[in-house]
Amino acid sequence: MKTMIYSDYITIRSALIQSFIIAVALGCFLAIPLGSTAAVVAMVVVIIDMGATMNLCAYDDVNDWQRFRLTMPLSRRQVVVGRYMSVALIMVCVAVLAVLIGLVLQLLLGNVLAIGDFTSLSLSTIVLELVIAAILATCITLIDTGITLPLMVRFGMTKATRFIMPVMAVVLLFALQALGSIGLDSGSLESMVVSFLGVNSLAEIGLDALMGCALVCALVCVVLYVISSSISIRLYQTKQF
Amino acid sequence: MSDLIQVCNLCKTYADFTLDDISFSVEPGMVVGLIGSNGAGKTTTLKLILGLINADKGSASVLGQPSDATTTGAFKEKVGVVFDSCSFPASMRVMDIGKLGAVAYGNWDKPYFSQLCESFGLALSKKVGELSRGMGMKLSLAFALAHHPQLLILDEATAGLDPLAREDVLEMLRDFMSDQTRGILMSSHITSDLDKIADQVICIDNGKIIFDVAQDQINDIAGIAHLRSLEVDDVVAWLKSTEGSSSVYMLKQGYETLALIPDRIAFAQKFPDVVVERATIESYMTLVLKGGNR
Repeated sequence: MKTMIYSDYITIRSALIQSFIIAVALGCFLAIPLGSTAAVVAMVVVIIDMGATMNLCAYDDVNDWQRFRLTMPLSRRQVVVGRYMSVALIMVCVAVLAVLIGLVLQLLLGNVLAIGDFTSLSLSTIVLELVIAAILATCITLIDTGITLPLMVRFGMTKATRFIMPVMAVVLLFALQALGSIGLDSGSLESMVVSFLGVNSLAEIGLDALMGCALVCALVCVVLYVISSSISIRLYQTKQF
Repeated sequence: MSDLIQVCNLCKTYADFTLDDISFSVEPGMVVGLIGSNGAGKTTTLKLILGLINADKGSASVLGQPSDATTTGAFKEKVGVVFDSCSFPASMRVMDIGKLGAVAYGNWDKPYFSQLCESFGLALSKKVGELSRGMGMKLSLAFALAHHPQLLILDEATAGLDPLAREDVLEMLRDFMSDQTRGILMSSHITSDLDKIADQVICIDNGKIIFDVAQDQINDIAGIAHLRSLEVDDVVAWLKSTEGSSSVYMLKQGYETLALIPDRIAFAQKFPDVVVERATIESYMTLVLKGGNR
């Protein structure tokens, strides 16, 4: 598994650096119109995480790399578990980096440039907000990756792109139906959280409570990610190269 | 010592192709060449041996361990593999690949990898995407050799190399075979390479083994006779009457007919006026595959 993680790291390193620079530049550019560094953090996380997963799976298909990789001392199970671990590691590192970027950006816009929207909050509140944004954005990418990786593992990137969008649409439809059936308003993430907590607005609850919600959400997503990995292992065992 | 590779009655069926009842072995100290036309089934056989695809029937084992999709990968520590192109991602640098080898193989020899890269003219800082096809193949060979495997499985590994580089690679493979516990299974279209290095030659055509003979039998004993029209019938009759020559392979080429002669010395004694030359793997294969069996 160490082999797989290292192999993924050296494969994706330069692409990660590039997408990091692009995401940060875009974030800095959009921070003022969005009026929030939390939104920038979420954007950086989603852009880099999803790009990294796509990139890794795309490299698998080029020059039969994944076929050759199986001639190294790796079982098919190790390949899949290693890939899930690589992506998870990238997600954790990107979340931490995104929070740091958000913080630097907040200090720059609020304290140095003194732009109105960014001056009103205390440092501790800002940090908590940024962490919550990073966790929730990572949850979104965990769900996305949990759905797309089994397809990419089984069919390869090129073929999987035919199925990813229809599958995502079906999953989203079922998820919204399920949320509606248990009485949750699924119009937006905010309204869903509000209806889940039984309050009138997010302002009613403290950031600590919101952090608790984000952690529960992360736990659920991690469980789904693990389930996705076990599905991928089964699919990869039957794959013919 | 047990066989390095044991292939027993392997069968694999696709919509438009069937690999049918393939059996052979690679013993320690042997270089086995796998030859045949495009789409004959060579790569499918190698994939089955490596557990990259599952057989419909039959079995393959490598270093005494069964190789299929469920393999744990333990035997791969002692196997080096080169496919017909450089498979590493374009974003990796040569030095990264060396580090990957060190992580992947317990027996990785870092100085030897560096030495191989240097002898191949591979700069450690270069990215795979910047390498030519030939240099990419050299990198693949360096990766396959640097963990001192017991078995090499090469699929068209010398394709894309210039003649001098091919000679260097063959020399390297000869060095590798100086340890008689090792073995090589190599498929190649460049049969002249196999003339120089193979001990056993297996020809696959249309999913079936057509011949499995010792290389000595081809290069040292067999011959290609150049016959005039008047000589053909006599030679066919003699070949059929000779013990072990139930199959007579002949190919009309321009004004002459080429005949595959299993024993060119005996033939020369019987037909001293007929020109008979030493067979090569290519001429032997061409006559068996294209020459009608009379």
